[in-house]
Amino acid sequence: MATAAGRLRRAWEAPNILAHIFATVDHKQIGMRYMVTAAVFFAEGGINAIVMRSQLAVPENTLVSPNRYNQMFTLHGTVLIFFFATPMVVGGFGNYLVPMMIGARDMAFPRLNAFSYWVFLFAGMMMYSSFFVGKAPDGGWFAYVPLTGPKYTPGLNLDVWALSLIFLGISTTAAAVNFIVTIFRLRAPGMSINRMPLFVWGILATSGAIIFALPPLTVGAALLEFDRKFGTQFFNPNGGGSVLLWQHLFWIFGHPEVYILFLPAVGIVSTIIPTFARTRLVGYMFLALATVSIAFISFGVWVHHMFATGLNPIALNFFGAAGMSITIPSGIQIFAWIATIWKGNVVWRTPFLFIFGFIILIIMGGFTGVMISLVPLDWQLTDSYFIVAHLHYVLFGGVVFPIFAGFYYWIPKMTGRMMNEKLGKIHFWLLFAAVNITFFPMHIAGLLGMQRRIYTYPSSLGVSDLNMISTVGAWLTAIATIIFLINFVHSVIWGEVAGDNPWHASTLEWATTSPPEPYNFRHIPIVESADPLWDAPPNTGWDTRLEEPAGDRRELYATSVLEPEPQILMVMPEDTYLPLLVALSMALVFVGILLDSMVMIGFGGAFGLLFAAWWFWPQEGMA
Amino acid sequence: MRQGEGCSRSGRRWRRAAALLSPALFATLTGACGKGALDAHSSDAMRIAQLWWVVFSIAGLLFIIIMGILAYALFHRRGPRASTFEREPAKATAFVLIAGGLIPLLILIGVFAYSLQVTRANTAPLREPLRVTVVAHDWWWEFKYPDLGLRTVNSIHIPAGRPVEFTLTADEVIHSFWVAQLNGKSDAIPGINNRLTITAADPGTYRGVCAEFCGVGHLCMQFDLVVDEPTNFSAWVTQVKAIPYQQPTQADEQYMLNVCVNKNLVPVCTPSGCPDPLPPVAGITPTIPQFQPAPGSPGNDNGRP
Repeated sequence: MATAAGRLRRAWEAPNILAHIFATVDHKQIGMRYMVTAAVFFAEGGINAIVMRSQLAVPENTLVSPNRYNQMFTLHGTVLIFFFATPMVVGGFGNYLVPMMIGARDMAFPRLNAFSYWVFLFAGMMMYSSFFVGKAPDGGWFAYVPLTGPKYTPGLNLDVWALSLIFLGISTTAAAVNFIVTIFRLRAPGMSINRMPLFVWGILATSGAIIFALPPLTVGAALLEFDRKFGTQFFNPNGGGSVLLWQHLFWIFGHPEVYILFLPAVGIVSTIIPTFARTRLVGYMFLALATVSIAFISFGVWVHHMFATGLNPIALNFFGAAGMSITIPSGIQIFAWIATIWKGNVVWRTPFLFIFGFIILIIMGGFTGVMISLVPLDWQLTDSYFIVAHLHYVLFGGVVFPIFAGFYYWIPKMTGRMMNEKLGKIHFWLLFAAVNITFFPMHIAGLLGMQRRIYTYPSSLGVSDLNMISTVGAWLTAIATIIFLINFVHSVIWGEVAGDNPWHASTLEWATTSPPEPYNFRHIPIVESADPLWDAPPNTGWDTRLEEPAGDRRELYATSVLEPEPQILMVMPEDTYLPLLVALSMALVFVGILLDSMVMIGFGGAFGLLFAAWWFWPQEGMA
Repeated sequence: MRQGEGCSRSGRRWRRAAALLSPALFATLTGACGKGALDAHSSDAMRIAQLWWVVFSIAGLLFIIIMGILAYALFHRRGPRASTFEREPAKATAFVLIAGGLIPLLILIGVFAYSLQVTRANTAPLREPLRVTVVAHDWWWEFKYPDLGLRTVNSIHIPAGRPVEFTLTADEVIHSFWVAQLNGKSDAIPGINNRLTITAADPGTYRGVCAEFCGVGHLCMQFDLVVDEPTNFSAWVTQVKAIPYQQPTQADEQYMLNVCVNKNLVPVCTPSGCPDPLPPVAGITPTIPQFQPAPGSPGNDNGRP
């Protein structure tokens, strides 16, 4: 079989180093790039946080000017939501894991996948570079008009914000479409919809939510740019526009966005728990249903963020109840995890520690979430530090902890080497303490009357000690993260060799080598249960219903949706520079719009069309 | 009761209840009875504070119970026999649906019904309220008493015991009116009139802030809300009526901003407010003549140190 494996490798690996860097369409390469890029944005957002917390360490501090502070909290929120969390869980983990978990060799649209990454990279560079020229957005991550309109924020700051997000939206939408098609059409034979790993369910639900949630944001940002660039009056109350329209558009995106981050993270949790509880999940069906129902309900909750805007109390309570109803599927998820842990015997390895931390933090964040879904309580708590505490419990506890769990769990698959357990445990306990030290006092500061987004506070407010504690916690968080980095470097160089399946896990990605070959699977597996590696190992022969391909081209099966049966053998595209070139051209267009440069728009548009035409030119042999 | 003396009566009662239920959590929250939302001095804020303590107690209790279940699940060791959930999957499913679905549903229905009551009480129509119109500017507050023919800047007096109905709006960007000890927030939005009620219980001076980020002067938008005994309030009205109102000019606005934001320009000012330009005469505009262009700005040679 060596020759067959050699043929496969020749067909799937990049022909040379240049192509490997700039032309690869391998989902694993793209996934890891998403992870590294998102991690860089995490570091940048984190540095912003450290500077802000240092400014807030003592009352009436003058470390940072108010203008700079406003830019920092805006970038902190924007970058961590849009350029860290979403790309990390969807682009990073999703890209790396979904094809392997469903037994495929790549995503359904590999070139579109590469294109998504490049657009994400350029949009992120566009957003962040503004900080270094002092023109970073400064209107808060939800950019409320009229403050962000042309009259009150005349500089480029908000144009950078709106245009980068519109640009990024192209990447995110393309990725979501790619995932939906991949999950529906590339699952290995036998992996019926009720055998899909829950992480795949999470990505599927999230991708669906992205497709419906992003258009309102894109429309809102475009209208804002029309107001800013062409003098339209969509959001100007003096010109007949509506101020609240922006809030509706933003939050009908913004609330689902929270779950867009959260559902894949929950998928990571549901995937890791059975491995370390050494038993099958309790309530697989309920977990899958909860995932999908949360994605649906999240579209009915946006007014949750607008309780103080003076809407009719009946409407407010309706949306409060809708927000509260998310507690039910969430509660079912949490108790399904607890029941699974109860059923099995826990092995306390680092990935599980992070899941353990996640469960505690998400329950805390869930309780405060119920509090702010009660309209009268929200009137007191909204826009105070209580909200800052709540959202960080949910996002740091609910998303970053599963991300770290995922790193410890899957880095052995990616690099072929284990992470260090001792450093991992130090990392966990320090981070878990640090997160609580940072964010718990913020609940109290908020109740004491400390409002959000102030660059300093008077000592008479009585929150000085609480803020000092939070600042110490923030520095500890930074130290914990550095320990993780050290662990990662240590693991890559000196780590113990992992082998194919170091955790004795049940899902298909562990059936490949670590790191996987460019073609993932020598044979397309045939799946017979929801835990294929725990039951009879997947059939590794070729499905006799189709002829075994010669292996000298990139080929994979498209299968039917519910009960996958092989339908056609697809020829997949080779590595290509075109996604990079199209993304670059588009970046030129967006920078051109930002700088009002018709030349850049013209060149970018012309080259973009040219490269796109080249991309779509019919090729022989490709479906 | 004077401000800052401690929790309000109702707050104290619920605090004690919470203390019985969850000593550890209570200890961490004792500090929260300072001058914030839980130190309620109006019937509106008291209703919210009570709702808070009820929800907090339930949440604290549930948190402890869930942590107990989680700890048991984590640390008990299954023997050589398969566990109950292993042998009887139906029991595991029932556990998940009842503990994760049914029980939360019942609790949420109860809590939601209670919060509906509070919403209704806090938005109910008032009998013979004192009407106050609040206009939020960039970055200062203007208060108008249409029935009394009064206007003030950054400071507002109301009588204790009498319901007050605030009508909130803004002329430039969105702001949010928040006096934590007296009620929740209500946004001041250009083109919209919002309504907020306060029936203050105790005389005192309460801190009001802008809670919606509104640009570089966000922190500067602080005001004092003074609750007077009814007789003192009448005296105050008479006193203020004798002083002609002067709308702050653009130069005044710029000066206020400089004072509050660029502390390097005017070091005497702190974010606790701007004591010099807004002296204790309750921020009524006769203080405006004290507004002077910041030192170093064009055409100015008499700036303060």
